[in-house]
Amino acid sequence: MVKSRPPRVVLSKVGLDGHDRGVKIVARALRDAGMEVIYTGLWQTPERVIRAVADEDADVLGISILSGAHMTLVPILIDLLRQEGLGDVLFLVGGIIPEEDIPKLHEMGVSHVFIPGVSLDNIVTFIREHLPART
Amino acid sequence: MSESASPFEELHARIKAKDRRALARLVSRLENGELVDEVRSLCPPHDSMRTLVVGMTGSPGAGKSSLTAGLIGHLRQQKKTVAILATDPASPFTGGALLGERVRMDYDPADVGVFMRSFSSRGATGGLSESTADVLRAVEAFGFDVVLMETVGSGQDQLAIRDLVDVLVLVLTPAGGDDIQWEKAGQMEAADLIALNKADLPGTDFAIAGLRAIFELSPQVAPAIVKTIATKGQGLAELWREIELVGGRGSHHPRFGPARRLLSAAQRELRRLFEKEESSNPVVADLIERFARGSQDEHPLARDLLKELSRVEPVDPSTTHHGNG
Repeated sequence: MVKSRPPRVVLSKVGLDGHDRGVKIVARALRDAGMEVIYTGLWQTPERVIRAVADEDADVLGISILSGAHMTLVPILIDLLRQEGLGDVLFLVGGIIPEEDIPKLHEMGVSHVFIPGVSLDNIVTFIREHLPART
Repeated sequence: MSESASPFEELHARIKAKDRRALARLVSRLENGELVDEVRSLCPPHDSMRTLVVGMTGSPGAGKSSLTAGLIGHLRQQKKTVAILATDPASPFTGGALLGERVRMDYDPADVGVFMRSFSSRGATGGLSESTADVLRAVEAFGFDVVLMETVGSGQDQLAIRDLVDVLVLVLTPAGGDDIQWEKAGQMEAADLIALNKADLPGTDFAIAGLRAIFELSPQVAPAIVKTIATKGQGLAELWREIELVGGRGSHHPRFGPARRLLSAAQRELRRLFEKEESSNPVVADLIERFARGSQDEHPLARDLLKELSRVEPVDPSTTHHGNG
């Protein structure tokens, strides 16, 4: 009998960005929604994040960026995900992202961008509805 | 891969070819209760493998993760490959978990000689998750030189790890309580080695004297005590030397006897059956309902539950594979 697996979510802060209150609140909300949250901590390089996604066999990658470096870091992360054969991982970005960048991030391959003011329920629901199917 | 290969044969071939993604995938499937029989029949048991399996246990905050992280660097300098299996607690209320072990693990992401995986205890209470023994077999089949296993880190009698490791390191701190804590039964008796971490705190020498005094009065072989300061990398080389010594001569603590290990296996099987039947079996549902009403002693109900669970098919035939057994 196959048990339903709790979604595994890697949450990370990439680059020179020391603000982690937001990502910790999201981590708590996902945990309380029954997910397994792997938090990597601050100041991660894209390579480290992708390594965590691969070894942890995560379904979801959530990146919190409040430094303004999203247009630089997100394409690197997307490239690495694809190189590692992790293109099916649900990729979410949260943080202070200017409105005009959001469509560009979607185009790069980000599934959703959560900006300040979004409800935690909203994030939980989005993940549940968009979890990649795994065999 | 050809379509005729079973999912496990395909994964097993990739694992033997050192495909890390395949290992990551297999670990997930074992955690979900899949491919368990296949791993048990195809991956050799620990006693026939050359991997040194080291357990790290102790209270939350004692420094298990930091010491583990320090040992990774030390082992990689010696060109030893290492897998880290770290367990954090799951919420008994929601099933969710926050797995924070990676925060302290600082290794080169390009280094394929390191594999780190975080586990939720998923409701198991022995300090590890139910699937750990099977995961360990898969990881050993991959061919790591060393496996470092970390427990949830709560409590004094969470010794599930003792059965799975060659060397058990108990991590204590000078601030970990007075010597009455140390007199209590459980982890102190099971440890092969003690790492007294945070050894720059006041009270370190007093703590060591206290520990030595306890073991002098005890018939058991005294474990070596190594002073460490994980955050500064101090004592790691000595800790590893002691670990290898125990690994070489064998632990003075025999694994729990066959009776107890069989009971643990039965408990795992019971939990597996219960989870399988919980939502679909009307007899089980009725027992839960009667228990919820609270008017009855629970033990007869529990016995009825056991009867019902042993009546149903113990192994789902669709997940059993008798190819190469």
